[in-house]
Amino acid sequence: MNVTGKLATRLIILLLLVLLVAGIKYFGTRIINRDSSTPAVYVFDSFAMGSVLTIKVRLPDKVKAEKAAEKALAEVLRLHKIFDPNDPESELSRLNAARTNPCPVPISKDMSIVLGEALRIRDLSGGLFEPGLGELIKLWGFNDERKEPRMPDSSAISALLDSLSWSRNVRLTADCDSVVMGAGAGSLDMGGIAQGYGVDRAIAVLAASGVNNALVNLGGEIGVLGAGANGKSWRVGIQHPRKPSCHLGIIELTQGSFVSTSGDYERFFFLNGKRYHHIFDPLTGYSAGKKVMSVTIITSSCLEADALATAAFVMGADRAVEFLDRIGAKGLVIYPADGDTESGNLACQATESFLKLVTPVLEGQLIQ
Amino acid sequence: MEKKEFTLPPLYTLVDLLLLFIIGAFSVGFYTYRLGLDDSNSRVLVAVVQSGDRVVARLELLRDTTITVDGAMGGLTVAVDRGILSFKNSRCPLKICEKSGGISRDGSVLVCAPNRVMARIEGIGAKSGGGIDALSR
Repeated sequence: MNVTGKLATRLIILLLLVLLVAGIKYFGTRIINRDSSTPAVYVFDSFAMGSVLTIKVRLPDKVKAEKAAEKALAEVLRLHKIFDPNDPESELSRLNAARTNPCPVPISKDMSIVLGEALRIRDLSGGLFEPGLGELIKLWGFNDERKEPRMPDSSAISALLDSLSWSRNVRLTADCDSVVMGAGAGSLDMGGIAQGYGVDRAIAVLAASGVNNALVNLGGEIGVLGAGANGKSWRVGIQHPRKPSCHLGIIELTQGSFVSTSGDYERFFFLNGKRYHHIFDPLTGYSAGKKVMSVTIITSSCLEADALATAAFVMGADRAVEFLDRIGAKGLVIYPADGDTESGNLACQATESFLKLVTPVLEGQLIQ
Repeated sequence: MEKKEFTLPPLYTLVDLLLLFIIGAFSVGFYTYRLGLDDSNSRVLVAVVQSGDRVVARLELLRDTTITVDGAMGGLTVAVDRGILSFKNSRCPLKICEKSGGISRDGSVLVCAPNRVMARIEGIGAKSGGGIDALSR
């Protein structure tokens, strides 16, 4: 081969190699970060109970997935009509209207389940989960997401404090189909627990529809059936309380376990540099002030997890972990390492049983 | 005087041609494979914007865009700026959606609950979604 020919050959080979390397570099970036989700996981988003309801169904048949998701959505919307405190026609509103009635008031099975669990957690937590805060929530303006909350007069809060424990007189009748309201000045609000029940019911409806693999997320309360994409466990992130797009750890959630998180970042406002949020301490009438930023609970029902997350939030980190350990619940409490809830320096306490289930991620700092 | 026969050597030897063929075939195959994968999954990251139960827009995150979406409480600005989607000018009282900042990752969701507006990022892109199916918040 002459010199020119050899040179041309080598140049062409070099050019091809350069193209090949460039191709690997460019397309490789896209491939490495490729999501492994399979098309068979169908995602349905809707609004229910004041939050986003996301239902993920893993089925080969899209039509069947849609029908099952629609049934689950209908169930959550049905529950919303029962527990909506702002709808005068809801069962909850009618029950509150009957609070001066000394006779037992008949209630639906759903109300019986939710109210029964609320009263159980109230007693278990020494009254720190309190379903009778309806009037206080209204006073602060946290009852309606379309209205602006405001700091009430301290005298108005004090005036309500006496009535906050009125729900101690509320009790279900022996057959649980009626409730004696206790003739108090307060009103029931199931905002701290009804969403959890919504997840329980949505999961049950999906299962009854023949769905074996699904995830239900109602405003951060989560339950699953079976497995997620590619047959792997459903992976649930725990939100960083000050960086909304970050998560602190990942839980591989299995069927029969439910996750609920309560945080001071969900609904809040600042006044004179202080954060006022929607989780109230029934003993003070103000936002729970034990410097907790969020609590995540894993239990066998979302109804219970939802209520326990609120109770543990009000307790504060030290008491909460001891409490959760004592009742056999798995929990994580996030609080500020330096006592300043706005500094972003996080610390945590968790039950040992919780830490076994969570994989920490560096992105959100924390855990262990 | 003896006349010499002079033959030019071939431009490419058999080995050169074989090498060229192998590299060329591999390059073409590689590009085709990668492009095929890319097309079969998704072109780019797309934000699916929903108002109530209705999808009202699909916005490519590669393209800066600003749209106004009618929510339950009035107009809400949905802005895509350098790959990050955020909500602005919301009429909701607490503006939690604006305080939440922006989203850019596959699978992440931004919600304005009072307005009943949400955006979910879908598709394949430069940033992974952290490999989670849901966020407990």
